Amino acid sequence: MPGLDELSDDLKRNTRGRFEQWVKNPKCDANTISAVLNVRLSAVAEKLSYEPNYAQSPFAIQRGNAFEKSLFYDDARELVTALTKAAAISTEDTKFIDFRLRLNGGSRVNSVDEALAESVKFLKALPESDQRDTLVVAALTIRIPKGVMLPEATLVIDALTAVKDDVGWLLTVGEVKVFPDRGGHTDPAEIATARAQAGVYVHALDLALQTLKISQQIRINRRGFLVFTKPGTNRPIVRADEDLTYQAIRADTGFDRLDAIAQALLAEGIPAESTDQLLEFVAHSKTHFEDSCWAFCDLAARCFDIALADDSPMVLGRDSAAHLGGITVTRAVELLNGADPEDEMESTLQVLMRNSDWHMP
Amino acid sequence: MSTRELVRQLRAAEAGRPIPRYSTKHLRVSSSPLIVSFIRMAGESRPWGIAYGRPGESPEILAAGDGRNREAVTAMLHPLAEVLLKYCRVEGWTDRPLTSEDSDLHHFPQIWFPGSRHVEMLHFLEFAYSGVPRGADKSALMPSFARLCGWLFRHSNHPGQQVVVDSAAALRTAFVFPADPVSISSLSPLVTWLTTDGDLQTRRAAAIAARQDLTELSLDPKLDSKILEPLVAERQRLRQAGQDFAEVDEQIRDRLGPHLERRWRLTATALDLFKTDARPENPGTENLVAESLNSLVKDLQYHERKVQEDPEGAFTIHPETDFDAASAAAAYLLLTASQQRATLALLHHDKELLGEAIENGTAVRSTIAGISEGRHGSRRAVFWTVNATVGEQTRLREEEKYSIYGDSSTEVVVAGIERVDSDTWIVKLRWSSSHIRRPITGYLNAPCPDPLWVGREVVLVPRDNSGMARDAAFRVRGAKAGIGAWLTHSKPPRRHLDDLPVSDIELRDGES
Repeated sequence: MPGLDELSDDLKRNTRGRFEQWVKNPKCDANTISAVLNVRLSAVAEKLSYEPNYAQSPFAIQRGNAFEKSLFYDDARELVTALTKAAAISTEDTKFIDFRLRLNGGSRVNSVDEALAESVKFLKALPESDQRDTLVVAALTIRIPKGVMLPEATLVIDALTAVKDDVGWLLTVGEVKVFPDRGGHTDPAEIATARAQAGVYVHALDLALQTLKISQQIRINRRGFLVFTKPGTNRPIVRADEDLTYQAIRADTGFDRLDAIAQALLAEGIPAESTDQLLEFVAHSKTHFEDSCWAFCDLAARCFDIALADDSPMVLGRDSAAHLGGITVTRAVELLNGADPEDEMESTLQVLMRNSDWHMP
Repeated sequence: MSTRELVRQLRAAEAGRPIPRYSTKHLRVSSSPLIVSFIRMAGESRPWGIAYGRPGESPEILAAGDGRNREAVTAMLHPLAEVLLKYCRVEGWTDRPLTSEDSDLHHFPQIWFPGSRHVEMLHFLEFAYSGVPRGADKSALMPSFARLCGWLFRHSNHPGQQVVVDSAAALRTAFVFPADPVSISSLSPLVTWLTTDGDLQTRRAAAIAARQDLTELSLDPKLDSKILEPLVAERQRLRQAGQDFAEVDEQIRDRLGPHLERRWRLTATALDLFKTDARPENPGTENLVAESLNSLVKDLQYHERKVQEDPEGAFTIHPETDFDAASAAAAYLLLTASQQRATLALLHHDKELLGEAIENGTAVRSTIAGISEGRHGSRRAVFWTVNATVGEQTRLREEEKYSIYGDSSTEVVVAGIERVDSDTWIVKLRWSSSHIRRPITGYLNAPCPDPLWVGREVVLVPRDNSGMARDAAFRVRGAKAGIGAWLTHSKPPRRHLDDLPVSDIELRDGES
């Protein structure tokens, strides 16, 4: 598949980011195709002469790396202590297994392919292992076995614990985020994002174990843990026992839909022979602007311009658009000012607006 | 989103500009406000730079060379800490601490921030500096500053409070913008919408362009990459080599300064917009200011006095505040009371707020159909029979207490309800004997038995019963032996994987 390789390298192979991007607006074809084909929206925006807005600060990256480094330093001592304190594991006697790439602070794995092979080896060996220690695993790397995303679907699980009990091995996934945990004041959106991402891991592990035919021997915990930072420090705070059942179902549904889209693209044949053509393909795909696009998509300014030209109520926000259905802003204002409704929908809207617009005499 | 809000948005789109949301101003601008803005290094929780000062003057701008360095950040914060403690007249930091007797409802501490992330910084500052080693002096500058920040942060969550102003949120509350909520989430586009001349297209284009002008805590990542990261790296190199890095610090400050000042000046513009807004101030804001100051005196000053008396041993609140379930329950009840009190304080003086209350079923439009006299128990009572117009939502229930809109001192009790159809209910209202002779202001200025009331339309609004929630908040702390003690006075058990799920009995008995 010419062109795709030019867009992908080890850092771009993380499927989770692409999945989460797609979830933010699954109604938009450009967004969906960008996620499936791994075409960066910033590149598409640049091609269309719009300035990309979304970048990551080097300070944020450094902070993330520093946190991860401290978390897994000395056989993940900090993480193990925090996990024990939060009762996510019952003992500090653990064995640390590290699949992180060298460039990410790991000690022995050189490439994603090596991480994938090592991770599969680890999972396959687990059912027969007589290891009694609790295992703490960093960066377990798995490939989702279906088509789902092109050219591939790779997930790196931030942290994972494996505990053997009388029934067998139980894997519990964890999501590491550098943002500060402020108890009840922690940003709910940040927590929801972390849980959603952990749910993707649960689902991906389900698929991987089924493919490896070891799903009967290894159980996956539907409850995971989140690792945040103590405000103003690099010390971890673990939120244990987070229910990920519905996040995993969401991932399952989402991946199925993405899989269908990927298969359809393959069936039609991707009309792209080069990176440039891929960018062109995404740029000319149908879009569906929503106000949430401002928060993540580099094409938002272009799509907003289109929505404005169409007199779409979406320029007033998603809630207003939902109220107005297919009625344009101009027409809604006319109805508000007493224009004769042309159909039942307009008539209903006019009555609703009139009733709500009561003023004290 | 309510249909009324949609109508407002359409009116704003028709006008081609933001329009006032309410008929009165719900925020009293203090005669001595202070403006504070922060910048933090991406990924960090402490500030990297600060700008503070009074409107009309130039702001004081300070920056730490490296936002990750605790010592540098602490040194930068010292001047702000002193200014803020004095400004809020905190016990121990001024000759004239704020008290119930010595407070002014026009000249009061009011701190303006560009947006919610800046207000959150108060909480991060509390986390960073409130903890002191056992036996250390809690009355020192930074712990005192941290506790003040913590109180300001918690108070900022109280509906109607007048001390901490999130400028962006205040503008969004005061005006309706013909724009989607995400594009007006920060201060710059909001101010641009309000200060740009021209038609809808001109204003909208300016506001969309202003989205690029970040006013949040972190800087543009491109600026970080191209300018600041190399400077910070150079500072780090010099520091590690034991060389002087003052010059680099100066360069970093020069780079951060314009961005801090930009945030500060935008906030000053927002403040000006409130000051020059021609709408009358809602008389209810007087109560809200009094309530904010009362909270400052009863909560913050009380604890600070204790710290002054016993600097090493006095109890201080943890930044998360909710380790004690009874305190959390009390705080929740107080928050509920604040919500109700704030709404009702303003409702009687604002027709647009009243329209909202009618739409969401809190208030009820009714026409007086008849007046009769009778008895309630052994006392004389007057009854109004009204035809109430109820919408899709209503909270009208028997025995609920209401006031007549415009006169918050009135009180009627719903004595009976007869549903005629889904939109109209016949409601019997009972006036207690203490209200019978008093004229009802706002409409006829006549007492309730006067036959002139028949045929008149009045609006019923809920009575302020926030006192009950306040009473409950007080009582919940002492309810150790009450029936809800398992919830409010138990210790959370330490949970292990094999202990789940936790039973109610275990919760009640606490950790064994």
